Amino acid sequence: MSLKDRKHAFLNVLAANLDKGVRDEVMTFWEEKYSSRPQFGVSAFLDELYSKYSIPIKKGQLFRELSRATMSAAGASRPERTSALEPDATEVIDKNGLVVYQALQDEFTALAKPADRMKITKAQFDGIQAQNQYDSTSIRNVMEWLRGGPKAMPNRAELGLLRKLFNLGYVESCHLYGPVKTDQMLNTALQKTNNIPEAHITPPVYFI
Amino acid sequence: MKRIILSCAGLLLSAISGSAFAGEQSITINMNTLWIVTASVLVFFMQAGFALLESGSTRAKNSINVMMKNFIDVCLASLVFWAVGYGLMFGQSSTGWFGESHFMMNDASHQDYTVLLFQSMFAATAATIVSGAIAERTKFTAYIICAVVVTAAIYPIYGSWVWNGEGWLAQKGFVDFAGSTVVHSVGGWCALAAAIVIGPRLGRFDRTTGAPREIPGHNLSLVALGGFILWMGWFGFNAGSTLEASENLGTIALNTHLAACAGAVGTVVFAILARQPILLTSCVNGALAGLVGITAGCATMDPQFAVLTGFIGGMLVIPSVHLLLRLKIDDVVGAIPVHGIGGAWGTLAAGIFYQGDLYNIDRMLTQLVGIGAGFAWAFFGSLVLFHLINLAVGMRVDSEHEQRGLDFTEHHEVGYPEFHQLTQSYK
Repeated sequence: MSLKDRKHAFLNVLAANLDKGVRDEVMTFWEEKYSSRPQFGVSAFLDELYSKYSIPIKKGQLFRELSRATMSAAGASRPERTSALEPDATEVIDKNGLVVYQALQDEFTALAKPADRMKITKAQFDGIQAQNQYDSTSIRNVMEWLRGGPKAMPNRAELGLLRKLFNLGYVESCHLYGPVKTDQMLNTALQKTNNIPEAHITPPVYFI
Repeated sequence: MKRIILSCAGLLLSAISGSAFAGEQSITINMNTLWIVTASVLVFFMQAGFALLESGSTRAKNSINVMMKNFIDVCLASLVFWAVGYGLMFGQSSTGWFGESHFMMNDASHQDYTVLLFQSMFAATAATIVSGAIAERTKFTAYIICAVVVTAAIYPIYGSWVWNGEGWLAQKGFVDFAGSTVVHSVGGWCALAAAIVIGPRLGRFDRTTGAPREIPGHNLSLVALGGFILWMGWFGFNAGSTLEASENLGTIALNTHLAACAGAVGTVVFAILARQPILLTSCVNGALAGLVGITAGCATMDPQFAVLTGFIGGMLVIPSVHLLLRLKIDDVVGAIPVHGIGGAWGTLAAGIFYQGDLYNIDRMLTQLVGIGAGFAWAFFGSLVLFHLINLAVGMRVDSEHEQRGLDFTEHHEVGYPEFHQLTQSYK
């Protein structure tokens, strides 16, 4: 997604929700600090925005609108076939997306036998440490999350890393139950996760 | 005067009979050409059979990938065989090991072009056998390279030993009329090498016990339809190998048909005797094993032996599948039992049941030499080449691709969008 597309998407949302004076300031702040980042996490931007400015609308509402706008703009800016089928693996997933990922992971492992759940998590834990195409901070954050559960959820994570993490669990499940049952588990987990509110912004299929 | 009239009449008669002979010759050539082209079309249609059978045997998320491989390998195989393979197989051979002329054939007679067309279809068949065995986990690009290697080197070099008049196996009297070994075993052994190099699908075998897990195909009706189409195409494959519209076409076609029937029955009988379920996939593979088996001896066997050859070929399918599973070799469609084992048996049977010279030990030994040479060349040759391809480009997709399905990851198309998870939310 180009900077121009992102800026346009932001302006549309901010124009509908903020007064012009505040809006210009907010746009300048975003352009100076966040626009140069290759991928943008909405929640990180809003955290800082709300700590610096007095914004008349609720943070959650603005978050949802900005997320939707940037996602649809991202879809529109990609080549047609790719946009129709899958998101960019280098995209950064924000807190909302991480909640969806956690739900997907929980639903998936819940379908495994209790004794095997630990095996799946351990395979993810061991496997993710061996990854070298992601930065060490991201991996460390994800490992702490795996150890500590939802409380240790990081603020953001790279989509590619999360996909790999889920895949490690999928592979372990294939070894435990075979690919046919594992695909059935995955379909069930996807259906259940699709029902949580956060999934309307970040669909669980992003992570598979 | 009387003498002059008689000599004129004699000259007239000889001119008439000469032109009649030339006309007869021309009709024969035209009939032969018509038959070979028709047979080529039938053999080409076998590609549709392979595509349906293989696609139906795989999971829905990989069905387009398998179709795509079958589609592209016939295109590549035909081009590569025209450029390189035909020359290696049928060019003049000074050593008896490979041909050295007729590459990129572009200045030949109509008859030569007709034979090239027919043989191109055979080369495509040898290449496509590999795709089914290694379905659901092979990179598309790596598969393309494998198909090129098979049609440019593995298949034509072995073929030159048998079907080039100067080939060393041909000189020994090795019998393989339509290619039980030349086409099918060679393809089957290449498939075996590829399956070993690539390894089994994710979760195919239990990690601790090694027990195989079933991964059913997504559409068994397609498997059956593919089997019927292959069966039909086989009439062209075997009867077309006469390369002329001769009177024994009917016998060859009858032998082909009887062997297929006996192959299916052989598999069913084995399943009953072994107290195993009678699977549609096994039954289709039994018929195909019968067809592969009769391919070598279809022109040199009596119908009763064609039935026996097909029946034994069918009986061998289920134990061969079990043997592969014990060895932890994952062959998705059963290409190795059908084409590799079935081809080897059929080639031996062609020696055992040779018309007018039954059970000749020397002939059987020659057949065994040919079978062994075929295995050694095709299996070890392709094993080395596939290992090199694996080192160079990697033949296997990563586990994320296996999870998402190769339709999506290799082609960005899916066969069944209504049921595919990945297309439901992104669109």
